[in-house]
Amino acid sequence: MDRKLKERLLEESRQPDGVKEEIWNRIEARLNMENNLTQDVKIDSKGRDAFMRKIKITTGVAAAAVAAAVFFTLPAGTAFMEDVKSWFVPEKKVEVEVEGHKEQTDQELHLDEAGSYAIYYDKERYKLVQQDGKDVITTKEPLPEGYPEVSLTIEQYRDEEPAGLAEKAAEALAERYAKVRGITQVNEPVAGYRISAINGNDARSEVEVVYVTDNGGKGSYMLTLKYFLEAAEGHGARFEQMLKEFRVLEQ
Amino acid sequence: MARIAEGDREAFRALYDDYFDYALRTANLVTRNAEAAKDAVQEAFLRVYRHSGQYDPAKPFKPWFYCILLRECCRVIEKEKKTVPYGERLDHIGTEQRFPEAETDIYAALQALDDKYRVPFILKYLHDYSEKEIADILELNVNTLKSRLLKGREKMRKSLGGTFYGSEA
Repeated sequence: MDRKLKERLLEESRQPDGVKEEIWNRIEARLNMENNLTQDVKIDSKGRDAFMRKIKITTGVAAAAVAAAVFFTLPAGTAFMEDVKSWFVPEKKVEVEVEGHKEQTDQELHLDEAGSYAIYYDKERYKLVQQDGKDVITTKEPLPEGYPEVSLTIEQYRDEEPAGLAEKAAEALAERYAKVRGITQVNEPVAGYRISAINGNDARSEVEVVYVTDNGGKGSYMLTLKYFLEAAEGHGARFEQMLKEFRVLEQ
Repeated sequence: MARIAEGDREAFRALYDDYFDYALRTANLVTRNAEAAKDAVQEAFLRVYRHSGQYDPAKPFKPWFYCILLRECCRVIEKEKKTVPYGERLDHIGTEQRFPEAETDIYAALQALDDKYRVPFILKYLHDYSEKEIADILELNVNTLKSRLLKGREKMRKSLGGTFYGSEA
C-alpha cells in the first residue's frame, strides 16, 4: 500500500508540458524587472546636460511640427481639441507582455483638458480620474485591503526643467522609501529621466517609479507609477506599456 | 549556491532544472490547486535566488529549499504572509477533517486529512524523505513528526474503512 500511495501521488501531481518554461519565463521577467528597479546608474552632470539637450532638440522639433500643423489648419478652442482628437484613433488594440505572455488589450484615447498630452490606457482594467489637477490612471476594481496603491499619475510642471525636477523627485522618494536608486537616463518608455524606489523585498513591498520628461517648452511632465513588487510584471508592465503611448502635444 | 549568490543566472537555471519537477509536484499536492502551485513554485525559486547569500553550505540544501517552498504554498493558500515556523502553522491552518466517500481511494483519503498530517505524508511518500529530513523541513521535533505520522495513519485507516494500508511510521 505504501507503493500504491506513492504511485497515486506521482499520478495526481503530473504536470502539463510547458509549465516548466512558463514558470521560468515568469521568474526571469521578475528578476529582470527587479534588476531594473535597483540598478544604480550614476550620471555625471556633463553627460546629463548633453542628454537633456538632445531630448529638448528632439522634442522641440516634434512639438514645433505639431504646433505648426495646428496653427495652419484649425482655429483654437473646442475646434482645436476636436482636431487633436482626429489625429488619434479613439480606441485601438495594443499588445502587452504580461508575466511572460503576450496579450491583446483594448486601449482608449485620453486627451487632457488643455490638449497638452495624449495617452492610451487599458479601459478594461483601469479608469482615469482627476485628482488635485492631476490625471490618475488606477484600477477599476479596488484592490483588497492591505495592498499598496496601484496607479499611474500624470502631472505637468510648466516651470521646472526635467533635470531639476528629477533631482527633486529623487530627494522626495528618499524620504519615503528605504531604497532609492540613482537617476537614470532613458529613451523608453519616454525620453527623459527615471528614478525608482522600493520599500523592502516582499511580494507586497511598495514600488514607485518616476519618469520625468520634457513638456516641449520650459517645463516637464512627471509620470509616477505606483504598485507593489509582486505586481511588477502585471500592473507595472501595463503602465510601462501605456507610457509608450504618451505624447506631448503643446508648446 | 555561491555562484547564484553572485548573480549567476546559468547556475540558477541549473538548480531550477534539478529541483523544478518535484517542487511543482509537491506544491500541486499541498495546495491542491494548479495555479496556486505555480505561484508558490515561482515565489520559492525567486526567494532562493534573492536569499542565496544566506544559505549555509554546511547544511543540506533540500530541507532549506522545501521549507521555503512550503511557506510559499501556505502563503498562496492563505493569501497572507506570516512569519511563524511552518510546523507551528500546521497546527493552526488545518481545516476540519473531511472523510472521503466510501469509494474514494487512498489518495483521496490522504488529501482529506488535516494539513499537519497530510503534508508530512506528501513529503514522505512523494520524496521518500526520512523522518529526520521531514522534521527539518517542517521545523518540527522528530518525535512530534513521528506522532503525526502515526495519527495520520490511524485517521486514514479509519477513513478507508479500517483497512491497514501501510507499515508503521
